[in-house]
Amino acid sequence: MYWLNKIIGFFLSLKLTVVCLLLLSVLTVAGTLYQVEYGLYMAQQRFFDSWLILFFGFIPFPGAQWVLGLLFINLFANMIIRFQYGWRQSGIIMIHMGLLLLLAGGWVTRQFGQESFLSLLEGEGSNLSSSYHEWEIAAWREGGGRVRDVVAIDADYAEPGRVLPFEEFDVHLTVEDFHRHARAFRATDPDVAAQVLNATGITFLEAARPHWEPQEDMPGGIFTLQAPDGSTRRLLLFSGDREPTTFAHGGEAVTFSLRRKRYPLPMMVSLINFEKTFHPNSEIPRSFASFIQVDLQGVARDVLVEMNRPFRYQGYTFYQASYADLDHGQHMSTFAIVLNYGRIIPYVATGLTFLGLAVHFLIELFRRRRNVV
Amino acid sequence: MNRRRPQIVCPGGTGFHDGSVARRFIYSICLLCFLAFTPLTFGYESAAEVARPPLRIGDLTEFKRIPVLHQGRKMPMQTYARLFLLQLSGRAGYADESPEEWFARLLFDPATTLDDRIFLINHPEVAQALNIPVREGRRYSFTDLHGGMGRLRELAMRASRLESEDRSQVENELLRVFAHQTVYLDLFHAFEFARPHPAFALGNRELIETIELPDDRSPYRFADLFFRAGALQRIIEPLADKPQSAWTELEAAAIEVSNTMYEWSQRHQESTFVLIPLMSHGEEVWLSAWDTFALGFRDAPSLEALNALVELSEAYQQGQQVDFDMAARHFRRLVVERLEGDRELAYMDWEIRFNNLNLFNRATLLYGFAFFIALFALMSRFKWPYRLSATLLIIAFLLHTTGMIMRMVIMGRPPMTNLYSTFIFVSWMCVILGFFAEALQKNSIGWLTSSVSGVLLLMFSRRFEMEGDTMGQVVAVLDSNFWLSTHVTTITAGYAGCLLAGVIGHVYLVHAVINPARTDRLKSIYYAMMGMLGFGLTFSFLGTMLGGVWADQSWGRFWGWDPKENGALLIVLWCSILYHARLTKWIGDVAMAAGCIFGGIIVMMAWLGVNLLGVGLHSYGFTSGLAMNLFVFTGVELLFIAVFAPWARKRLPAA
Repeated sequence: MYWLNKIIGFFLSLKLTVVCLLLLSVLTVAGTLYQVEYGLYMAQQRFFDSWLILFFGFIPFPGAQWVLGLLFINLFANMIIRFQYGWRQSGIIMIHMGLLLLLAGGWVTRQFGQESFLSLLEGEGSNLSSSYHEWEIAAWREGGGRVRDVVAIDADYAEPGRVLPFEEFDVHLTVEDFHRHARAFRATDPDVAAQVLNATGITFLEAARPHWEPQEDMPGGIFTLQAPDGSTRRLLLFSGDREPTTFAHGGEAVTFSLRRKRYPLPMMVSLINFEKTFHPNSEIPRSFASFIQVDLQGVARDVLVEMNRPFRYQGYTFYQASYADLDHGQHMSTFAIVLNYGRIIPYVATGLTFLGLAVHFLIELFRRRRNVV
Repeated sequence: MNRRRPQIVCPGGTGFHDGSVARRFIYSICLLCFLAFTPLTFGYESAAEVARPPLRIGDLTEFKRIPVLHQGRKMPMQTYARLFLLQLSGRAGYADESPEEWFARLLFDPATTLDDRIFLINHPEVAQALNIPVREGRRYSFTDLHGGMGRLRELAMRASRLESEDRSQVENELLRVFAHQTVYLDLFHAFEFARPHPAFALGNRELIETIELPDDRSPYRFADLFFRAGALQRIIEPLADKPQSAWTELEAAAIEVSNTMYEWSQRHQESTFVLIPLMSHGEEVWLSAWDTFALGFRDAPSLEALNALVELSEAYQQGQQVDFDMAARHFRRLVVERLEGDRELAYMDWEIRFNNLNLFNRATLLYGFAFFIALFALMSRFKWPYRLSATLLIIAFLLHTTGMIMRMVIMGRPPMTNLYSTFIFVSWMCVILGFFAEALQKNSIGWLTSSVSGVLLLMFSRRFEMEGDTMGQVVAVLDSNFWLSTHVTTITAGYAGCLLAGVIGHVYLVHAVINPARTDRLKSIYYAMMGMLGFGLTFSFLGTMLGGVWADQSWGRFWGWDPKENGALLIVLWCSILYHARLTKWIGDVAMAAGCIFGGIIVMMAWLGVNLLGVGLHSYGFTSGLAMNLFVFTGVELLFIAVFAPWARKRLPAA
């Protein structure tokens, strides 16, 4: 009982709140400065998505996940045990309920959110979006007509020595080497080149330092491909391959590709037209807009997606992210696609906390005024 | 108007300009290409042949109203002139001349500006590098720079090859001076088509008669010949199949003059001083007068516009006020007719009024007076200093508010679209909050904090005026009046609350040291400080979260740990730490005051400091001087805390 009280007392402590807020401030400052050298993604990974950090390689420091988790427990415990519920405390209660909701919303987004993109040429359509920094090893059988069954395994599993089973095609890949970011080379000796199976002619890979922004990374891996008859070949897959690599065996052909992870969309999206305008005689953009056609189970409708004006459907949100000018006046438009089930939580949390702050400080103001009078 | 004996004219001109901080990166890349490919052909000749001392044009009211396009925005000539002079010389005027008076001289009688010291060179090493004598006052004339121009070009070319982060201050300064000198030359030649020039002193009488030039006006102007290009063409066209040896004197003279015209029009192409709007493929395109000549636009409105510009220049040269005004009005009408219904043109007179009223400078001055009188009121037993400081503050506040509203009307946007306007708004907000504090406590503290915030922040805002147009266009992603008026307004209101809490924190500590016995007054200062902190926390939180909502709407993510988001979060965290630490009794009143002052440092870091990092989605315009200012501010504030907080603690228990 003594220890239970001690533990509860620890989690209820206001001092813990102050310490957590101070730790979060230190992490925020460090994470901001870290971005100058290593970019936003690395800073997020190191400081804000982590549980433990080693400053200078040896000083342990709790990561934001720990601090936020502790703060959540601290807040929750105070809400249940310490808070007095009454009109005078209504502001304080609303503030802390809002903050709890905000932390919960952040967790939901982190756990269940999905971010991807879709690049379309004018006239082109797709119902698949691609991940920014997750990759997959995909395989399919050639010659299946217009519809193709693809089997894909996340590249996260591609650790040396692991076996990636493609049982549908009766082949297995054993990972020899896999690099998050690699440089690819070709051998000039045709005998060496013949030993490795790769459509682009790449014969070996070298690990390179990952980019600040992981979407710039070019992963690659070397695998031992085991055919149904037990024979093996060395297969090299590189994200920069011009075309997928096909393995033919016993009259059947299986094609492999290392590609960005694909997500199926519940609709077919086609880009009709992309328009950009600039302020006269300047390169200051005035607007970027994509006219798309969205086919929702046979019912097509035209939609305009532009800056600050996304398109939403069934939890998916399409944002105008970027564009590219291609030859012959053609454009390519890129949409950021976000699936976030907790999207509305921060909105509610913000409203609640702001209302709480306003109520609390107004009550305090009037209380002090009355006391002064 | 100053009249000087012209010494040299430089017919070689170039067409490159980048005054904007926001486009500095593009400029750096372009500059290299530009320097590599642009020939610098400065030929010097006696200006006495071509320059005639002009008569005085006293009233430039109509001239000021001529629209100019600059960085995608239509602005009155007055604003353009002011911006140009501010960027070149750091001053919005030259000697006793208004910006538009000096600018008119540069356009219509440029030789008289050659000795005007308008080039600001901050670093003396630049003058030494150019082998020109170092001037006191850091301002140089074109004549001063003239001897070092070749060297300037060479050094600027070398500096442009370096990455911007590798450049030294001197190299940045060299690039800046070179860019300014280039724009100066561009404007120097902007109206050369409307001035007689020896290159067009036609010796062939038959040609003069054939193309119907007035025979007593030689040397002619480029424009005279352009308007008779049809007649010239009729002479030249048949020559394609005729051997040169068979050309008549008339034909040879026509060929010669058309070659000169072609060379002139090519030389002055791509000027950045664009005045003439056209609609091309449904898009609005603006051209300089030279480009309109070079591209051969011969439609009636373009010819009429060019003719109006020639008349404008001629009237200035001859000192004909009425003709000058008529030409300016006529030109303006042509532009307005072509861009019928354009919002920026419709509010141009508002902008001129805004420029003329100089509201922010007047408000700054009054805030300054109000501050000293409020300080006196704190120590005085009389009522009149209190009333006087209140009156001055209210007048200053009204001017400040009017200025802000006028900017909103002119731009058609909420009060904040760039860093400059955040200073205008935050200072305004601080003044309002000070009024509230005063209304509640009536002890001059509100007047004092209002006035000091008003004067300091408005003064600081002026440094951003030198960096370019303060009403510039907003990029597409920020082009949302709803989010600009909600997120930006609330977050800056939060800045204002926390800053004012910091200002009151200073007052608290100083008061605790000077007069610790007045605990009643100390208590009221403390409450005011806590009130401001509460306001700051509430609005910083709301602003930060609304930023998240905007990010969610625009980029699909609520929170991304971007430096600006982190800066705003730090303000919220710091305010929360102070409140919770007070509840745990870890800190007392004095530490709270010191914490509020430290909060001011955090606000400045979040507001300006994160921009210096050069990463993230919010890293817009800044200069290297800003880093030094922030560094000094932080140092001074920390020193203040280090001295006054322990001192106040020592004094208070004794009281």
